[in-house]
Amino acid sequence: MDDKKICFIACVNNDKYEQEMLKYINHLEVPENYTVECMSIRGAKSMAAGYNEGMQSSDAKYKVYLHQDVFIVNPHFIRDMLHIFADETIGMIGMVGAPKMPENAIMWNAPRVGKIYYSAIYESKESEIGRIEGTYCEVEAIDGLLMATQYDLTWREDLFHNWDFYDASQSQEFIRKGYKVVVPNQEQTWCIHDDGFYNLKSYYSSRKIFNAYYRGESTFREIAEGLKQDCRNYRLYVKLGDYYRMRNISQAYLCYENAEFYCDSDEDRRQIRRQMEELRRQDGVKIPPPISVVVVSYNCNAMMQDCIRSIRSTNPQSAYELVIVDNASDDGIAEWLKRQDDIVLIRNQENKGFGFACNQGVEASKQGHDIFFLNNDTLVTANAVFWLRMGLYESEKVGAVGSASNFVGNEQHIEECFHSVAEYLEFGEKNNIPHENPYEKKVWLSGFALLVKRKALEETGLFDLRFGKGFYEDDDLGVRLRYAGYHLLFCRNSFIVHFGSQSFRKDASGSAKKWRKTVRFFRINGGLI
Amino acid sequence: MIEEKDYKSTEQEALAEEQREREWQETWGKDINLYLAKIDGLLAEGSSESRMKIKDMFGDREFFEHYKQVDAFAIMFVIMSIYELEDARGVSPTILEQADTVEGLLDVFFQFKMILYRLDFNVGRETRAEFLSFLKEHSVSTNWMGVMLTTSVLRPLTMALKLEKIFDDEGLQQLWLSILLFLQEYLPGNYRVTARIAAIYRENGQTVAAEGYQKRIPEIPDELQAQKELVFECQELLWKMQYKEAGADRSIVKFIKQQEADNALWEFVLEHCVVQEKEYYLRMAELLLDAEEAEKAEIALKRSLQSAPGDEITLCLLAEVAVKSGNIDNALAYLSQIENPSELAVKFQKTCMELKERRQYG
Repeated sequence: MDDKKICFIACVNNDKYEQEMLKYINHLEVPENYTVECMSIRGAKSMAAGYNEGMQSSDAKYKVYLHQDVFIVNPHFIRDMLHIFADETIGMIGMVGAPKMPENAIMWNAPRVGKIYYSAIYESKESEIGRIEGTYCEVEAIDGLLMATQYDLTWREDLFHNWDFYDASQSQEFIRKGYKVVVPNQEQTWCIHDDGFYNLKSYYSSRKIFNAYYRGESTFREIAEGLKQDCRNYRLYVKLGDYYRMRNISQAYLCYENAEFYCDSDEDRRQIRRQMEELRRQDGVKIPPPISVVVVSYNCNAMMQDCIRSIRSTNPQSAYELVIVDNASDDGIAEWLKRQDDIVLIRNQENKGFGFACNQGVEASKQGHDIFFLNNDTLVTANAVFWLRMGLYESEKVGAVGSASNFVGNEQHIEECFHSVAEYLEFGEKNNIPHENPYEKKVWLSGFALLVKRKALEETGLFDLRFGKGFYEDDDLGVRLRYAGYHLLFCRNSFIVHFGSQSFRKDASGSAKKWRKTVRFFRINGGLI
Repeated sequence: MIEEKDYKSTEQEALAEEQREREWQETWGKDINLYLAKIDGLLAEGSSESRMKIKDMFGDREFFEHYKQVDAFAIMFVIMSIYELEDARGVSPTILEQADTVEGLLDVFFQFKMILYRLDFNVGRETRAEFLSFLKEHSVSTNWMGVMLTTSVLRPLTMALKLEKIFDDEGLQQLWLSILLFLQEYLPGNYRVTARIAAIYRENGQTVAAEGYQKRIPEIPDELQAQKELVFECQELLWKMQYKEAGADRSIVKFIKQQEADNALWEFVLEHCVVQEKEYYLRMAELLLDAEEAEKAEIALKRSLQSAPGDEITLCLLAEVAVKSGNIDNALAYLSQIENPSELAVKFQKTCMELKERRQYG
């Protein structure tokens, strides 16, 4: 690294601008023993990519990244820049910057400091954007028109594929490394920016990436706090989508879908749909399919109806289908189910057992849908299914996810105990929000509310009918999924009310029966668990 | 000045901005090339009718509103404004003769602007020659020059004075007069400029117009007639300071010191100075005091009092000048004029009283 060398780097797509820019650079006074190098990057994929190319090609300690339409008019620019860089804690200098980035990260929507000669076509003038006292002002972000550095830090071309936000991003990179980013107090303005008007075509998508990446942690906490107060706030789901956009497109999509579900503004709904459409158009992105909710019905009329209503009221219609398999109920529920327009109903003439009925449900479900096995003695609380789906798409490796409940084994139960259903529903609303660590890996998951990825189910097969009418099929499925290399996640932030074994109580009492089934389970699986 | 509350800093506002941008792209942005091609076609025709159609496009407020912030349209709007002025005066060739495509016109406009930037900031040894050559090659009209000064030049005052000198040196009379008239219209108050315009009109036999301009210059008293050039020079510096030209304030002090300007000259130019803001005079007084020009500072402060009678800072500075020259009574007289004196002013007053008493009683 040559610490007596200054390299001027610009991404160029206009030769005339380049020639002009160089005339001003050639006009600068170069301090004794220093050398100057100019580098034009052509055909850059993005500003960040172009600047990385320039940075890697030069051994100059000091690098001045500037737009091709920026002309340095301060003849003592290099001397003045070196004077500021004498302070080794200063990593980067800009001409204009924001001491505090606004919530929405749009720099010009916050008070800024610095001076510039600018041309906005109808008028051109010197603008003191914000006065600075002292030698410089420390800022959170500088404008990319000119960015001078004394240390090389990689530009985030992995995040910013266009021509926006590379500047705010690089400012954050320097700050994260412990350096100051500053705007000098320019007695006489240092630069002309012949910028014309902004082209904002891809600005806003980059803004979301910036916010999600650099402000993710605090945003995440803010969203969680907000959803705790109001679990149906669609704007927060949009924000959550923006947050996940940087991390996991499938999860981002689910967030936007949930936002659309709660949205009560036509205009905002259109916007959310556009965002979903944008994600769908991205190459190689796995958009989560809807789910088929498979419920086995057996003589629990009121409870079954409540269960179905709870699914309907907590999920976007486009995100699920209801597949109900009735095992020859005789309490009128089969007739009620038949009257529903949104249910795919399979009526067995005799009780075929839980596993068999579930398999029937899967076979009747729409191709490609993920399968959500749900007991009929449950009440789905707000966002419970949403967070299950978030868990299922946490990674490719996740094969199945299960909910928490008030009545469940396998350490999926909650510690809280309430006296009324209403209290449990309220608990669900407060619980089903973003958590810092919502997942726990399990060997198997309780089948009362079990969401399985279609692909995983196809690979491992349906419920094993050798287990008979209603125990351990879920455990077995879990073990098979694990064998196939899938992860099983217990989602703490998905709470579903479970009344517990209502159908079985009506069918048979059975600790003896349970014991018998356990023995059978061990026998089938060779004692592997 | 933008108030903190006026910044659109919330997420919601950003989403609304994004929405507006998307709608604009979908509704209007997609047709940019279509309209540019249409203008190209009309430019290629080159007839008065086709040019009228381009004028109409930019004259259609509803249409132009959607494209006024697209660079190519904005520059074409400026070019068409120049053309309209030229056309009205029967100038030939007009700016539209410089190229027959939008791209070509934008390029000519860009070249000129770049030369003007460089000329303004003294970049490049060949720039002056390049500028003169551009004027000749492209038959730059006074209208074109004028519009460039109001839209594209970054420091109009510095640049206009520089151009005035170039045009005068090169004998480019029309352009020279246009620059003088530009200064007169956009940056009024420069006696030298006004006097030059009056002289040009007089030489051309336009005595009425000449008289009109001459009347705008205050009559210079007989005792200063011999120093007329110095009066204009000093006044021009004040005029530059009025338009916040960098370094003008220090140039005034330098002028006063170097020229040993007498008080009558200084009083005359200040008396006719149109600036009312006391800060303007206080700044001058401060620099004059630093340069040990107490009398000149006192004159500037007295001029300041005309705009802000009873002003504490001005009166305290006047009192300070009086104390330094040993005139305590004068100092006390100034201090007594302060309306609602601050604690500091009262303390200063007491000190002056004590000083006076000490002097009276030895």
